[in-house]
Amino acid sequence: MKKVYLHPLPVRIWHWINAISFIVLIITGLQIRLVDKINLMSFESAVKIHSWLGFILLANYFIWLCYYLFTGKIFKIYIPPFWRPIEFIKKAFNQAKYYAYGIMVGDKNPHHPTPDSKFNPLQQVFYFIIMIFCIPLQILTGLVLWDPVQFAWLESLMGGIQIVSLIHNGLWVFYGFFLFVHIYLSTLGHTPLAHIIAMFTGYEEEHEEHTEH
Amino acid sequence: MKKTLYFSFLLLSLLLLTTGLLAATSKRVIGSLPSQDLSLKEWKQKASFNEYCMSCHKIDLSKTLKSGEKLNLKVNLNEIKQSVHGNFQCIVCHSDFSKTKHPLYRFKNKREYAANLSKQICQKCHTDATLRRNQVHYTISKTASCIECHGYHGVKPAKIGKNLPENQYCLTCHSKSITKKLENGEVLSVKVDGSHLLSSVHKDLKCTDCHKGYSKTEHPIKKIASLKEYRKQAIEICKQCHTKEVDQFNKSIHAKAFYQEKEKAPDCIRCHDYHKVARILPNNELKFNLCASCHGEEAKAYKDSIHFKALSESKPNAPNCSNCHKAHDVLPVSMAKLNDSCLSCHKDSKKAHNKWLYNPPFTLESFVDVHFKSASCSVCHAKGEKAVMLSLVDKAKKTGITVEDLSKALNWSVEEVKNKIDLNKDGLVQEKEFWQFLNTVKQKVKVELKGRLDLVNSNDAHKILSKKEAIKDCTVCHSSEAKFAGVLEINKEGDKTLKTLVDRKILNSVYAIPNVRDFYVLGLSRISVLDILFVLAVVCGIGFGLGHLSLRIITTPIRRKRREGK
Repeated sequence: MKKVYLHPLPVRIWHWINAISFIVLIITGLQIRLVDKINLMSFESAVKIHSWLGFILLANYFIWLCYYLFTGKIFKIYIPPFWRPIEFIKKAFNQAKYYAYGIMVGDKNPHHPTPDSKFNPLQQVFYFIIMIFCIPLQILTGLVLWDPVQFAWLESLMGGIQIVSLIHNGLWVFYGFFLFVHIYLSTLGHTPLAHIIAMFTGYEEEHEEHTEH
Repeated sequence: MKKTLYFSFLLLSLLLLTTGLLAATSKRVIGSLPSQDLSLKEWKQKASFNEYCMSCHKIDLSKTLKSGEKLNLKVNLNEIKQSVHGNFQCIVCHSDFSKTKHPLYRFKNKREYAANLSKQICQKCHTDATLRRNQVHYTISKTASCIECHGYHGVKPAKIGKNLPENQYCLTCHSKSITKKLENGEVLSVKVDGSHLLSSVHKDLKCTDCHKGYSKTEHPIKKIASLKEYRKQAIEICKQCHTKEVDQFNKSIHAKAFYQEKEKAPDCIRCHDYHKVARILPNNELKFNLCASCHGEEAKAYKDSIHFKALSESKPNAPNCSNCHKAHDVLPVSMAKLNDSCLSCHKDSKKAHNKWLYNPPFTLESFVDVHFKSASCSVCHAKGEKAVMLSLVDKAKKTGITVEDLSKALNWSVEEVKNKIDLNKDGLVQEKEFWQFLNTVKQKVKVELKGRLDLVNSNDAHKILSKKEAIKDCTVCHSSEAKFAGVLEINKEGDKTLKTLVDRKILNSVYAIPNVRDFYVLGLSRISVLDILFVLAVVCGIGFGLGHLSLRIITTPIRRKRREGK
């Protein structure tokens, strides 16, 4: 069994801060939104925690961005090869086929992760959308909702506070789905905890049969 | 002989007594006959007209007019003799009377009597042609009766010294009860009480400072359609000097109501009076009473406030009506930006609110502004039912749409507008009715809805609570179960806003996203369908994992067989 260093320290720090922030933001967001139905904490506490974590998420995003920009890995890892669409679509289809069928019958994972290509085509598309569009949008809309007077320019640029809120909450709905799918997929390593452990140690154990994280 | 003498004396005495009695009786019947030798008929023929008329009119005679007023018919002959008409016989003026004719006139009131007197009697000799020699005199003769200035029988030459000070010159006539008949028949009093002028803030002004175009030689006749028209012109007179105030007034709800000729609508005169022009004194209580004289309900509500408490304790900074609503540019509540009025006195309120109303990790005052911008201060600081106020705004101009605008654009009558909103007339506009109404409006006018938190009854905003009683609990507003009504308010020209109760749940509808674009209150106006989508997303996320896991478990034997090479 070979060990591949897939997750450098800055990425691991970013990931776990992100993970905790996401979960707490979803919970406090629920509390703020449904104060009449949920009573986990006071509205005021939920707002305070949500605001603090929003800024932590913002700072954390810059850790991720800076790391991947300065290492130049953002292009290798996150940007799907749009310039080779047929090949990419074929690979993505094979990957989807693997998750839907191959994994059940014991086929090999068509993707072999390396430090320069750690995502399979489906992951690449998803994480590209999440990191380049969803999180920045979530942060920007969050900033407007945090202080609509201070960010009035952004509010009007986005088409009004209702649209801002719709984007923020629409993404909240998406994360509600993503969080569970992400957690489930992280158990698809050669052991259920393999990918999760790798996100702590940085090293992915490469089993005879390539697995997904 | 003695007997004869005695008898003769008795007879003479009896004769004298009889003659005396006869004479006395005659006097009682015909008055002051010139000679006891003449018969009544002969006297009548020989008596001068003055003697003849005065035989009755020297007595305290009076006539009761239809109005109940009493007209004194007694004439003082000496007065006539000393007058400019001293040589006239009565019939010179009263030509319809003679020794044989005494027509009976039935005047309704003294005004009619005086007007008739001027026209039928005085103007026989003092014709318009002669009066026109003096324009002022001619003008006055068209609006006032002669006797107002010249008296009845003691006709005096009413020459006014041109060297008199201007005000005194004008008041020579205008201190009398003279009136002007307007084109619609209404009567305008043009009497000016000199004492009013002297007690006014304009006491140092000359009449012509306001009444331009008039002078000791010029007195144009103005044609004024009605009393309302006269008052509109009066505003223009004030504007000559008080341009700023009149311009402010012209923007106000008071002006709109006034120019729509609504009864009781105020103009300059209603608050500041006519010639007794008063500066509204800096006395807060008097200021309050002035507004309260029309706005009784509002005054009652104000008396239930901490502000009135301060006023009644004579605190110098206690607010009265104009501190919040302004004096001249009084706007409808929905347009008045009353929060700015609160902040103009409570200058440190932003800082005070910022101590607890802030957005971590920072404490920016702009977060207080977020709240000040979208909620009226009274929501937290006054007693009363709270509401989300929605108002129609022109999308392009960003100005409020009025009932009149809707009426014009949709060809509805002003009264019809309310019925078009609440179609089933149950007093509450349901979601379906609301969006249907909005769609109908949007076909003709490009509108959007503007929202703010306020009190259902704007009058309740006067009932300001003390600081201790103010609301500090965020969930009073930030909850979908918050006790807020929904109100659609549409401004009305020169009138109070048209308010219609709407189901507040419209704000939780997806239709609110494009239509109420700039108003969102966390919790209160959350879009409910997103909650359902979130639950679905979580169920799908968990379902995906569980479903895939189940398939993997079911297919374990296949993988095992494959690994074992079977």
